[in-house]
Amino acid sequence: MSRCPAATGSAWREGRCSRAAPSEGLRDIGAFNIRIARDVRGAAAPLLPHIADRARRSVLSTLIVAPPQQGKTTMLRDIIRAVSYGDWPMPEARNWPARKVGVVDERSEIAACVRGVPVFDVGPRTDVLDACPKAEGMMMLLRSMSPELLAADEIGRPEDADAIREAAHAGVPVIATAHAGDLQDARGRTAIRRLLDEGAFAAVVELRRRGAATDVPRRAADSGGARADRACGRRWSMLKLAGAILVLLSGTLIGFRQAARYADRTAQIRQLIHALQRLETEIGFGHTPLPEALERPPRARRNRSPRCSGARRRGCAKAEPPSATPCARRSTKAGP
Amino acid sequence: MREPERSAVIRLGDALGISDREDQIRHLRLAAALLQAEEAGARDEQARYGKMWRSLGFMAALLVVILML
Repeated sequence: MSRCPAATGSAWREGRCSRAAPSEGLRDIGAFNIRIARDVRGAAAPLLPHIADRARRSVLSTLIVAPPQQGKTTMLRDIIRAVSYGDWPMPEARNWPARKVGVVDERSEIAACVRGVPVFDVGPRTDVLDACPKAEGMMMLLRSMSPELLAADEIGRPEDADAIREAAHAGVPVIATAHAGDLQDARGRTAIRRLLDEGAFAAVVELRRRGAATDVPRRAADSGGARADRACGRRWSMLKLAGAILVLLSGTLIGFRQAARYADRTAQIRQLIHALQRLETEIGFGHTPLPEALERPPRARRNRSPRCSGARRRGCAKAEPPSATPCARRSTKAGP
Repeated sequence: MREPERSAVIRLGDALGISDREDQIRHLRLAAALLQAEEAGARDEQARYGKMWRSLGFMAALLVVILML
């Protein structure tokens, strides 16, 4: 715990895309999402008049709800800074005192402490409990640091709610942020709904980005980057699917071709036998001279495969009647 | 065309046209018988290996896909 001097600079936080197994931590890291925290001085100036507690010259207990990327933490940080410096933007608050602020920075996103020194300027009267669980941290601050304002980021668990209730009973205003699209959304979360119902917060602020991002759908729970990632992933898996189908198809086709070769061979031999039978008929009953028999129109020998008939034709033999002339011999070195 | 049926046809080509009709017919019958035996063998092989190749191709492709993914 340290009472912080002013310091500025930049800090970043990172998200990892990986399997998050509770027992093993993060595994199979595939990507990093680096989020650079932005320090916007004066971001809270327009808001402070609305959440000012004029009776006690401080700020009201406030819940800031917004989807991610809308500036919750940035706003919270600037409120802390303004209150801690006593930098009240309202004219009537010129002589309001600066207040001691207790910050429970569980995820090191508000002050971004590095070795106990906050990277961001959170004001001279600010106590930062770095990397401390919110619920216990708030109780510790309440007990020992006499804060006049408590701040915590991203509340939502039942213990957080208990601690905030405790602070409310101790008369210390609490400024907290919560992930939610809007107030309606926030009421859907049990812990937050109970806090709201009990009146632990005097004000609720919905943040919405101005300018380019205003037309981001109100409920968009993630940034465009994540959407693009998902689209890219879908395209990639489509490509893989197509590749798999192609490989499967070609493999099956090769198999069928090999099988067809066996079938072809059977058919070829059958045709050959048929052709020989025709030839036998021609010689035995038709007494057709061999060249003529071999060159019979396809009607007679339509089944003979061209290769065989070529070979046969070269064997220019005259098989017919009595004698085979010597010249009839030969050149039957057929065979392709 | 594989070796056995090719040799049968070549042998027939050698004998064809060098003798009289009966002899020729005998040669033709011989060749036909040889080829018939071959055909029976081929049919047998077709039944045995045809199916094997078909499923082998598919399975090999499946294996490759599984290895790739």
